[in-house]
Amino acid sequence: MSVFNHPYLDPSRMERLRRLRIKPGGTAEGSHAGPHRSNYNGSAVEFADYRNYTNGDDIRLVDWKVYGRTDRYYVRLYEEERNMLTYLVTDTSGSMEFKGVEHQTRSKLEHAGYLAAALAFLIIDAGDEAGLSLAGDKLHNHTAPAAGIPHLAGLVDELAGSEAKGKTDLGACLRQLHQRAGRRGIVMILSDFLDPSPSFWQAVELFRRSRFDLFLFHIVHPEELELPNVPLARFTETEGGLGVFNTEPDEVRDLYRERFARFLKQTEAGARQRGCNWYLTRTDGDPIKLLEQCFLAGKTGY
Amino acid sequence: MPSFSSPYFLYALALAGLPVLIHFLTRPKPRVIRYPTFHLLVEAGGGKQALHRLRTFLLLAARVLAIAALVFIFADPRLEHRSGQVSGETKVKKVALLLDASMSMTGVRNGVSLFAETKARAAEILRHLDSESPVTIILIKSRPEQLLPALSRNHNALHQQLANATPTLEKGNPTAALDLASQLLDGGGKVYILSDFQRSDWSSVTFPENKNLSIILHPMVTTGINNVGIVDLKKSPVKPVVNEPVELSCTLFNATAVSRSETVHFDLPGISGSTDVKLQPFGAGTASYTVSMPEKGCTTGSIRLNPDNMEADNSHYFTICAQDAFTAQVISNNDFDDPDKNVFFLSRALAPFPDTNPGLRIINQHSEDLDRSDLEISDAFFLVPPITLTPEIRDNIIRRIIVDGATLFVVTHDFEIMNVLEQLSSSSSGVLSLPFTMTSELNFSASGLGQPISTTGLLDFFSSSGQNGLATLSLYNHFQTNDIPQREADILLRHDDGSAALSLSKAGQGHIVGINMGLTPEDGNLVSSPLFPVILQEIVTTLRNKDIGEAVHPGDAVTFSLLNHNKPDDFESLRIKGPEGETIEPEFINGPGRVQVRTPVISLPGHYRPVPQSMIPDIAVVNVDPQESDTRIIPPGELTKIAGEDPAADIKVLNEQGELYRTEEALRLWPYLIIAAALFFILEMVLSSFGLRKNNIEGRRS
Repeated sequence: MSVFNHPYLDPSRMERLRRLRIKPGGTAEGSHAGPHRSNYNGSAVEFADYRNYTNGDDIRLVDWKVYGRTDRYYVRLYEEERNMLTYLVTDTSGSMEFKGVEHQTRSKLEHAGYLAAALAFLIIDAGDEAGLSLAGDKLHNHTAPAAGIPHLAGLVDELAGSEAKGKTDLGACLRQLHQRAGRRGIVMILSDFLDPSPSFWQAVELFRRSRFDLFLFHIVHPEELELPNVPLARFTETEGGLGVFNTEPDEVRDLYRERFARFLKQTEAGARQRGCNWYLTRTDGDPIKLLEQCFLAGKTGY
Repeated sequence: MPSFSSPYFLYALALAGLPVLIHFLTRPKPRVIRYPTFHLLVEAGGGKQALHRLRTFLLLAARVLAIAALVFIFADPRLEHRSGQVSGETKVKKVALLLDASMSMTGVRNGVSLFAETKARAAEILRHLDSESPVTIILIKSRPEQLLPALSRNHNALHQQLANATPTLEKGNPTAALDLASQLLDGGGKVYILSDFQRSDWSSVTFPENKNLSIILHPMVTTGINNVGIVDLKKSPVKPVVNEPVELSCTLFNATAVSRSETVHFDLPGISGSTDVKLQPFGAGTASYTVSMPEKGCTTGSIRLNPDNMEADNSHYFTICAQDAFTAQVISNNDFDDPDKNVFFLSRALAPFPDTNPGLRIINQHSEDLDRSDLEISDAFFLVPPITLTPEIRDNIIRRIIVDGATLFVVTHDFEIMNVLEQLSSSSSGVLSLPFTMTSELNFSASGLGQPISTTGLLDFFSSSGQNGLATLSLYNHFQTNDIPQREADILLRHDDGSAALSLSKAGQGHIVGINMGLTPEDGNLVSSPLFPVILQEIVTTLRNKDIGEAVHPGDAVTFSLLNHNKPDDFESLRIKGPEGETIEPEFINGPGRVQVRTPVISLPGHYRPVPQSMIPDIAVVNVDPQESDTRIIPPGELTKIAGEDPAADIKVLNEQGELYRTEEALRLWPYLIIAAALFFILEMVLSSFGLRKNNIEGRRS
């Protein structure tokens, strides 16, 4: 399926995404020239490549001749500019399959897919490289960052083909990713962060110490924020546990709401403490809108 | 252990399961939700869930228990203690079971005698008593009888004695039985009384003044046994002479609420007959039969009815003792043939003509010629002054009057007569002397009051014979008298000045007739008036129709008087033969003025004959007490009134058999159940209000 006709990405989305730009907090270490400032002190000023103009680009870099020919804005890339490496980590554990009970939306995994696809497009369209890792109890389906539309299509296909199953161990997955990630860049984790193990934050620390930028996209379903509106429910675990909890949701609604809110705060606080970017996104919300809020040109993107 | 007055309500306990059933039927099916934030949910709501479960459980329990409590309220549970055990204490109470064993309890209902039912019920009460309770069983008879000599914890022995107990044909004396029970339960206890509470026995009962007694009255019947019985038999005359017609008049009483027709059978040796009598509800009727005795001597007979629910009073026994003549002895020192003397007129007035009074024999005797044997055969003595009596003669005359029922005619008075009257009035039998005192130097005194006699017929004679008749009499030369106020009824005739002229008074078994009239022509025209013999004949006839002697009933002893004044040498051979041929050994007692023999307390009605008859030519008749024939009862609803307004003892009526086996200590639980049910319902409402859902859907949805 052409990436441009995939539900995760369609022309209207792509059009909206083109206005956005992700800028890393540090310098880029892409393998290719990119629009990001690099620590490499390259002496070559030779023209390296064109890329599409994005908001925020230095207007002096716009090649007006190309504009005259194509009516499109392109900027010149020189050898001393490097591209940004972005590692997209998508949680594919069983908890991500939740679509809701009374208020059904896309599943969290689907929402992550939309989000990841948009982020991948954003990154690759900006001339950067994006990779994808699917995380469950371990890292599987790791695709190293690369650029180009075919690569983007591959990423989108991979996202579309992922299934939510199994347990979560984001910490182990991140450590595996850290080992595989040769160069620093941006790590974007799309998850519900329901992994209770402390190893996750340790892994986050690991990336921070390695000067990675981390973006945590906290995906929630509205019926995780508020218990489903059913008179009587038998709640079961989603990741293979045998626990059963029978209750009238109304009985525990307030207590659960407080608990979940505390969980969100804890996650946000944990992210902030470690200098991570944390964004809350609901499955009934528009991922593009979220990205617009996060990365609209002119903003730091944090 | 609790028991229930209305156990059928317990079936409704099934309704107590309704709340649970409704809960599970209406409970929504839980929706299975695979929930990502399961552990957060458990963290948040785990405690709440437990609380919720507890609330649900309590709610259901409250509903179930509330319904159960309501059901139990209707079932009326009681927490029983064993009868005889005081609630909250370990002390057992003494118990007395009083069983009515009087004649009315021989009545049969549905083929079973009341007494048999009473025994069964008493046995059941005994079984429900605490095994350590000291118990006595008392039969209510004419004299109370304890089945065992004292209070006993040996209930087995009591059961055995109870099984062997039989009813009697006696009239019950509940007051005596209650007094005995009160003595035995001195210090407190419980008395059960099982009886038909016949009105004739119980309307005048006196309950003991014992505050420590708890008395339970349990009527064995709610209506009296239907019964017709023979309540009386009159003979007229009581002592007929040979060939004199004797009217046997039998009275029946119908103790039923419907009219009855009864056939009365008269049985005498060689003579029998029957008469039909119609009886109104609770009414009396009379059947009469006339016989005459061809020979001198005593003849026994009986009157019978057809069998009914109570047979004991369907037979009535009697004797007819015919004598040669009614003997009147006129005693005076005057010449009986002297027409100037009062005794001349008196003797002529008694028998003006030979056939005036067949069977009346007049013995005129000078007081100094009196023979004791003559005294023994005389039925009446006329003491006409002047008179001289030896102490022995005087004593015998007195005895004949007091004991044998002879009649003493006192014609005016003199010193000797005064002696007789004084002795009569001072005797221990409380006989009366003349009902007036003479206002001469001789004062009579009346001591005591004997039983009043019925002189209605005689008084009617004197009032109806007309003022015209009596007005023709001119009576003077009498002794002025002061009437004794209590004895007004004894005075039959007065002089114009108000003084008593003629009186008839009871004297032991006999009578005293006071004649304060001059019996000579100069004392008035009485002696020449035909009224004079008429008056005497009327008196004699009345007295001859008066039955002497107290009725003897089962439960009494039979007493015979010996002919001889002293105990005979061959007394040891004397026996009394009972109605069923049984031989009874009597005891020798000294009676007032003569020797008597007495049997032990007898139990059967019928004829009792001394053997040899030569020693005591008499036959005693024992009949059941007619009051027992009236089987009308005191209605159960009015039983508590028989104890009076403020009895000392705690008296309760228990009509239901089941109530007998419970005690007043039994705790009725319904008040507590009402409180419990109310509390359960309040708890249910409180728990339900906590479980109200907050329909806050708009708030939950963002």
